Amino acid sequence: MDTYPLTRRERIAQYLARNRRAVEAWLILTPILIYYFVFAVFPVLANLSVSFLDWNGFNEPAWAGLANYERFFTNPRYQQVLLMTVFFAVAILIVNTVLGFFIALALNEQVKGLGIYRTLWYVPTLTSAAVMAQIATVFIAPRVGVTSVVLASLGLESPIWQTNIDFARLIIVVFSVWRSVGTAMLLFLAGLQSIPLDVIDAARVDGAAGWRMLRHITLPLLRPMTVFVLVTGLIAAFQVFEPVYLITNGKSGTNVMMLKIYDDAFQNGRFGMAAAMATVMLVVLLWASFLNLRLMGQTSAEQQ
Amino acid sequence: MRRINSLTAVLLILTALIPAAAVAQDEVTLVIWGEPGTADCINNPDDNADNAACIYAQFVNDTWSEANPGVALKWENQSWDEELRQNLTTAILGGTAPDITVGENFIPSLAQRGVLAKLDLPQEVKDNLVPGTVMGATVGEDLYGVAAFSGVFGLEVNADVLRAAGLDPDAVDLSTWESAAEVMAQVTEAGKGEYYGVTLLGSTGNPAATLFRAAPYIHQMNADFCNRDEGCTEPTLNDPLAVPVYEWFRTMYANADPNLTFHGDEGYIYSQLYTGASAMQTDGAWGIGRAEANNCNDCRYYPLPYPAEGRRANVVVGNAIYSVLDASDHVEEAQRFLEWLVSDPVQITSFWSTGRLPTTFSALQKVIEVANGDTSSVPEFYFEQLGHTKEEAIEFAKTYSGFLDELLNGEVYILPQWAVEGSEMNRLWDEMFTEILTSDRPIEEILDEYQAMGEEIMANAE
Repeated sequence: MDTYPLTRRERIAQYLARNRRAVEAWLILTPILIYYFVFAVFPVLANLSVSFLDWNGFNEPAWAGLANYERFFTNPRYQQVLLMTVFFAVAILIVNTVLGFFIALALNEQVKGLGIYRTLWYVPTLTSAAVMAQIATVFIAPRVGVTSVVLASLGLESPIWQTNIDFARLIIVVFSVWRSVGTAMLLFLAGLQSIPLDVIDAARVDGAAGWRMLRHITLPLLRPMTVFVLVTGLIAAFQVFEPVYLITNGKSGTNVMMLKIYDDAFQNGRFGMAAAMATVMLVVLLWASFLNLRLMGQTSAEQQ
Repeated sequence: MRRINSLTAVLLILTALIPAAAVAQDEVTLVIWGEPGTADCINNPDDNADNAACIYAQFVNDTWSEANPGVALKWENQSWDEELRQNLTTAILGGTAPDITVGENFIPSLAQRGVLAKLDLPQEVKDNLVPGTVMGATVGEDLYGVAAFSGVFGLEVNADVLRAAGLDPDAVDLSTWESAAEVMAQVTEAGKGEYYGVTLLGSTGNPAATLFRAAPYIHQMNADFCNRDEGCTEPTLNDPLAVPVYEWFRTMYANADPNLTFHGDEGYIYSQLYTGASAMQTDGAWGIGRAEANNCNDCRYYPLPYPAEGRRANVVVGNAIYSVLDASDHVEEAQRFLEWLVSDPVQITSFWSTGRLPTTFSALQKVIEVANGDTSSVPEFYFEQLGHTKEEAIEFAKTYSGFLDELLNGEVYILPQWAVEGSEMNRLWDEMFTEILTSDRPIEEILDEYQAMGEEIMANAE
């Protein structure tokens, strides 16, 4: 049989016919890929390039090489900010995870009005940080604050919370946990409800209850969810900004990387430095994300 | 034939459009990021129908437009202070900056970065500007803006609280730190925890608010927060001249409600005087309107007390500086607008409408003349639209006379303009102030400790 060379149009038609599903997929994905590139990839790349510059935002940018990064890791002020960020991230993460777990455990029981309790715990997560900060301020305000009034009614003298930096740190942790514990609770609850009932029943038959049930059955089966809560919690906690900005405005001893990035860019005119800090943060968060993927992969492989 | 007809029609349309295009080219629109109150009045007149302060805003907009038909004004509210600075930075980076912007504390840093246009005003206009009001718009010898209106601090006194403490408000001496402290102590003692001698602002989360009210007293002793000759790169927190100032603050704190001092909400703290919770406070001229709104029947205003070994000094506050952006396509028109903003009619309208202080010598002088009984410079709207009498106009001007005198005759300063790490340095000062108020450690020791920290911040900023 004679074969004829295909025309260009025929070759394209043949290609489309063979790869129809792939072409359709790319066509569907193209708008979101454009969006993703413009609003996610491009800003990251632009930020990375600015981090190598000495630029106040208005002048001619000058090449600075790794100077901004060197400064971030060697300058005592930035080291303090980094330390505080790590402190808040760890403190918030631990309290959030432990509290979220126990709330989920309590809400996993069949009690009357369960939906209301679950909703109440989750509402702060959905509420604006500014509103929450205002509520927190009402609680800690001297003289007329809720805490002061309660202490006064008990005949106790209320301290002036605002003058104590340790208390300010505590408030930031409490505020952050208040806002995010709902998410941890929800995730743990989902994890608890996915534990097969026959496993629970079998454990009960074997005499497991209370602490033994928790230690040998619940916790091991919740491991994938615990890993997920820990890693996503770390990502969120590392970016703590609102409580610091709204409650203490970064008083020394509470300043964190996100606020320092804002200060350096908009107040000190050090866009290069701000971009370098943002890049460091990006690396940390990427590492946390990869860790998450890896651990999740491991746990699912173990379970299989 | 049809083609000829079509061509004729196109030519006719083009001929008709040419003059319109020419007019459009001549029309200049100045985009102004104005002080929020002014911008809101102009953009939402219906919502502000009963707001007397809007008379000024409408006057500025309408009078300028009538006198300058080719130069339209477009007002935008981009907030104030931090938010405004952030919006402005973003707009400049994005190439969408306005022609004119308002600002207060960040104007010098923008000027130093080459963002603002140097103002080229006639010498007589420059000479008429009260120096303190343009200090925050001056870099070296160059002027980068003018203040539309201004303010200084004074002592706001609730005479009813003095009476409640058994004192005669007309007889008390509040002119010096020593005499004022004596009155504060008497009121506090008589109040027995019900009311106090003074309201003091502690740490609020916004260090600038506290700094503003401490700065006049610092300057009264000829002290400062930094070496301004060196561009504020060297902190001078442990200036020995400042020690008596902080002792004065400790004295005031001993006569203030500590819980109120650290309440955290500036608005709430300064409204307590009107409820009778304290006898006096350091407040701006805006307190006059607020006292009226809060039904303070006998609130009075005096110049700030000053130390026997010091001098009268103050800082400008609520100083709305308008500057022209260097990237503006209409720098000439924008400068003309700024020059007009500090002309007598605008300045006088501002005072009688908003109660904000004028920023020129000539306008201040006219207000003082009213306080002395000559009401000829009071604008018609004050009587016709607002329904006041000449006597009320004289009383109104008299109420402000302490503030006016301070602006005209006192040494007026601006807050420290830190070369870098401004927010960090202000936070540091705020912490130092808290430590001074709440501990009994020697003041010198605290100042030295924070000076070392300040030096470290500035050294690491290099």
